[in-house]
Amino acid sequence: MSERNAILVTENLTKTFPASHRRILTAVSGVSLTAYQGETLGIVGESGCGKSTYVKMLVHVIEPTSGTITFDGRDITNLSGEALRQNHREIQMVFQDPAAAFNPKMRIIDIVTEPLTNYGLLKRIDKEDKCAELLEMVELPKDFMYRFPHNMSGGQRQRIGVARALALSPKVIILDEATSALDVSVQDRLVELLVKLQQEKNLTYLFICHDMALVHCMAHRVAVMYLGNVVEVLPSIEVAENPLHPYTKAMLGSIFSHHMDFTKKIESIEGEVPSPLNVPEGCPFCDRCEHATDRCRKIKPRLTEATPGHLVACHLFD
Amino acid sequence: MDILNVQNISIQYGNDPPCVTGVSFDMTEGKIVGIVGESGSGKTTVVRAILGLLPGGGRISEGRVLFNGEDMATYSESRWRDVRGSGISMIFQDSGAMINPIRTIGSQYYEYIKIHRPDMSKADAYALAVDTLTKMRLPDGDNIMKSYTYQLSGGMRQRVGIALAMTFEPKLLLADEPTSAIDVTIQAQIVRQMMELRERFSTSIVLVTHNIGVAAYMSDEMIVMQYGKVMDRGDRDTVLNHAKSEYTRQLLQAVPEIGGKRYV
Repeated sequence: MSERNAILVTENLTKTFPASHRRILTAVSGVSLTAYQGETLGIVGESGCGKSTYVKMLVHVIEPTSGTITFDGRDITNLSGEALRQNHREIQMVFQDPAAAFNPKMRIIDIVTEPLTNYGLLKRIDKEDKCAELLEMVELPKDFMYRFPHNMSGGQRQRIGVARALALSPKVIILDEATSALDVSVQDRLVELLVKLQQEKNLTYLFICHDMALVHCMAHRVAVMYLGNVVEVLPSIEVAENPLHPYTKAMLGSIFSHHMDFTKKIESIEGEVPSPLNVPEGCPFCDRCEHATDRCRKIKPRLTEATPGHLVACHLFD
Repeated sequence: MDILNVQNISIQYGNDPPCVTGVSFDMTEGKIVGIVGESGSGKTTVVRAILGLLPGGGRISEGRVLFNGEDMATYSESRWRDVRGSGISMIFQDSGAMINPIRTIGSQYYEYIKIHRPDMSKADAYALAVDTLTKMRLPDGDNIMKSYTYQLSGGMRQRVGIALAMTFEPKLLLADEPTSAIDVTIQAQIVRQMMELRERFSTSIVLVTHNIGVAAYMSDEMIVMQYGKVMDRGDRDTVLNHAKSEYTRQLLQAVPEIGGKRYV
């Protein structure tokens, strides 16, 4: 464990937003996660669980309320100005909807090389060569460089998103639902490409996704979020065999697969996620959990190690 | 007798070549047919065509759709109005988008009932609406009637959509991506809800979805479509385990699964 290089570490990262009537909306509540170099950390959770807010803080799109972000041993929480701009070179992002992520009036060559020109790293004369190299990396033909984004399919556009993220040779790439808008067969090929690039370049991915099955297939470790809290962090090979937190189990029980036993009754939890304006005092999951006790309703469980490398925040495993 | 027969239909927009060809299936009471395919495969076009809801210039250019043995192409405008909602109804992907956001759900529900049952009293209509909402496991029907869509969560909105569709207990329900916009734990609740409709009202369901797992769980018969053509059709076991087309096999392989193919 210790020889792995912890590249991106967050400690107690919290984001609250002011809401009407002087209430406070807690989007992310004390998240401590570590991403190691060369691995994929999957972050899974349902809508509103704070997974996107969390990664937006990592790229300084949203400023954290409290907590620290450490990148490669340096505290980057309060970077600003030129230091922050230089830091953006190391952490790049791929967005969910590739159609909305690009300027529709720019050609692919300008989209893909823009990060390099922004940092003055590319002469105009080298632009075509660099673009061709990046397109080759994402397995697209190089005559795509003079196309516009609307002349491409969703899968091809998302590859352009990956090429743009790769342009600055970052160490960390954040994939925020990057495959969610794609059909399964296209998604399958994009994930294969991402894994190949990771192995070639020793990239670290933070893979945000709502599809537990996909996260489990492509991540090394999986963090499960619920209502702004990380409730479980486990190696992805343990997802199927040894999930501990009741919420993780409920999520797994809700997945439909064409290999499942079709006579099985659907095990799903009742109710819905409470509003982040009105977070329960104790465990965030206590009002939907069948094991909840008075202790769960009063004291918030902390993320503790159940077995080596497997963390869970639940009073059942204290 | 079959409730619905779709006989080898082709669908065409204007003078363009047909975008869907050769789709056939039959619905008996309580049967669930799942139509799966990726975007652009024509699966939604098929269910829209059944209810006569094709957008501008779309029409069934070949084949027939029979509802209770009657050819739907011969329907008059008023006959269509009788069938829609009472005989066949539809659930959409996002029921929130179908409901007017600046009017309460109650006022729209009341209007919907009034159009189909003009002689029903206001009190009876209200009671019918609250009763249907309660049957869809929406706990406080009175409160839902007073709410606007933005006050409800995605799962609750989808349940309101199902309640609207089930008000007159239609024989046939067309469900177009009913769980695509909602989270997995809520999806499981909605799927269970739809299976209960079959048990309770013997509703037949045509389910259109890109989620192959959901289609496999719910369907008796499955149809796999690509580029407007049927690639595979048969009972669930045949399609999943003995698919005829290469496309279906590849599609099934590409679906990520717990304990399935791993990329790393």
